[in-house]
Amino acid sequence: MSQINRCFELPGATHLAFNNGSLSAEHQGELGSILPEGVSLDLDQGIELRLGEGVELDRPIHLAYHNSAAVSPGSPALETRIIVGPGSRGTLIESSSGLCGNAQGAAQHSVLQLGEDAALDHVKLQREELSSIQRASSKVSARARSNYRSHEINIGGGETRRQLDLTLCGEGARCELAGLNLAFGRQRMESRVRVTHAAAGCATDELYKIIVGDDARALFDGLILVETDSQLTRAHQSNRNLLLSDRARITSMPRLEIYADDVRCSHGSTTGELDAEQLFYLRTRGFTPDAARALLVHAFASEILEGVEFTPLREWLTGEVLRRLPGGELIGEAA
Amino acid sequence: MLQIRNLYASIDGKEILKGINLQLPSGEIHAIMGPNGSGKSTLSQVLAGNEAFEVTAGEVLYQGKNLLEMPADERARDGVFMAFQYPVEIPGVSCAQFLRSAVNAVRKHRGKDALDAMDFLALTKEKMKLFDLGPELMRRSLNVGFSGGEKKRNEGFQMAMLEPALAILDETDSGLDIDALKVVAQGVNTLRDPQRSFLVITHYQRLLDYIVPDRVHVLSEGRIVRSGGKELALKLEESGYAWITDQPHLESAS
Repeated sequence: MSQINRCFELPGATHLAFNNGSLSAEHQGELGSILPEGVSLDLDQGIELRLGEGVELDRPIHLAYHNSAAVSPGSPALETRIIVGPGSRGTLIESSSGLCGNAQGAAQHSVLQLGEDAALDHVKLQREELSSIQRASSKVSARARSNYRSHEINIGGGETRRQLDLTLCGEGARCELAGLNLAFGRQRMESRVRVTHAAAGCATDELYKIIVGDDARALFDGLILVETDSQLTRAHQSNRNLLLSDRARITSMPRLEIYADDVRCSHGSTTGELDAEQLFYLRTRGFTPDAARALLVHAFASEILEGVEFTPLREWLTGEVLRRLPGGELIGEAA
Repeated sequence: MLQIRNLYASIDGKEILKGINLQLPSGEIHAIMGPNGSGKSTLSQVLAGNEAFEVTAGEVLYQGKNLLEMPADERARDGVFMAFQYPVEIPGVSCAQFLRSAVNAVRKHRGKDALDAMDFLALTKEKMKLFDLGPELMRRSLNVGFSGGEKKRNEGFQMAMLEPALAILDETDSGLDIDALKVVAQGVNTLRDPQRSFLVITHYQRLLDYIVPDRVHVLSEGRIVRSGGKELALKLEESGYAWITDQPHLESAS
């Protein structure tokens, strides 16, 4: 696999680059002209990005974190606070890239607050070097009638642990949580997702997909907790996984804890291999075994990728997924 | 085009084909008929290269090459096409994406340039008409939610796009009403060519009213027990299979 491209600017997004937690020199003195109206950035303590009230972003904001410095375990996390004011809406992309070598990068911690009636489309992309050790977490609170959409996509890193802790704390808040972990070689990936329904009439739709090949290992630990007074909750959690080798391992722990009585909740988890009949069908149409597998793996991943609404990012992700699959170049053009 | 000699094949240790002999010259259409369980579908699967079946004896020559040594995808690129009895559904893969990759894999093998998006679109429009399919099909996931008739017409459409030298139609008539059957048969007839041969596998004579074969072979218990002209199919329709299959070991040259 070639080295992950350090420079990662998405055309059409407001790009804010950070090196080891500090705003990149390229932006010095020009922040005022970069930031959209109604958006402020405060760098006194970590990173604080604030959308005022009723702000509508016409283009995504991309926070690109690059960590080139190794830290010792237990060092403080780099913290980002995102505050979306009442009625504001927009798309936020956080991407992390970094270290070469078996080094631990600083943990990255995001705190997101959605005000009443706010809507945030949040993509968190981890594309670290394949040997690095990385921790990241998001803590999200969503107020009444707000709408939080999340795509957590992990394609890099040697050993990564991601955590999403979301509280639906106002009536009628909704969240749609999607995840895609793609692990090959000796990559290790953990995703822990905890959703708390702390108010009535909230909804959760959660789908995490994991693809593992070679000797990779991945874990999904998902909990939806419905508190006593959270009546009329609707929550669905699904974890679907694809094993591409006999040596790869997936651990899935889907969980529901329900303390209210008038709710509609479900969860499910499936782990399987590629379908032999589908592979044979493709081969009878001229697909090599590698190309047939790549097409089916891409189809499995595309359910998540198609939910990424920002086209330049979705296309970049599709290309990255195909690039990691043997035979992916054979179907890339048509995909 | 195709020579099958003394072909034996089994699945899960159970012998299904027990010495098939068949010669299919270029430009001809041969029908294989036979009762359920006679080995018709096993023959088509073996010819297409399904590795679940084990060939235990015999040989198959395709354009003079040893077909059985070629993996399934190589056979396809080299011009062997099988229309499936049960086309496989592939969610998340659009017909357009699938077919463009398939067409370009075949073209590359034949030393032709890949089709760009515009040329591909023009070709699909032309070939879809043959099988009475609309352009919206190209955006749908392959075979997902297709009616039985749409699946079979889509198989025919793929065949038209891939321009095989040898086309095997495995019970293409099963599950089709008479109108759909006519559409598929008409499409197949437009693909008749002196350089192209067809093996039409069917339980019923009905399909052969519309795709008229040069020869008809009757398969029973893994062997071809009778071969004849197209009138053999009519005789089978009138009398059923019993009058043939009850006569043991009636060997015939093709």
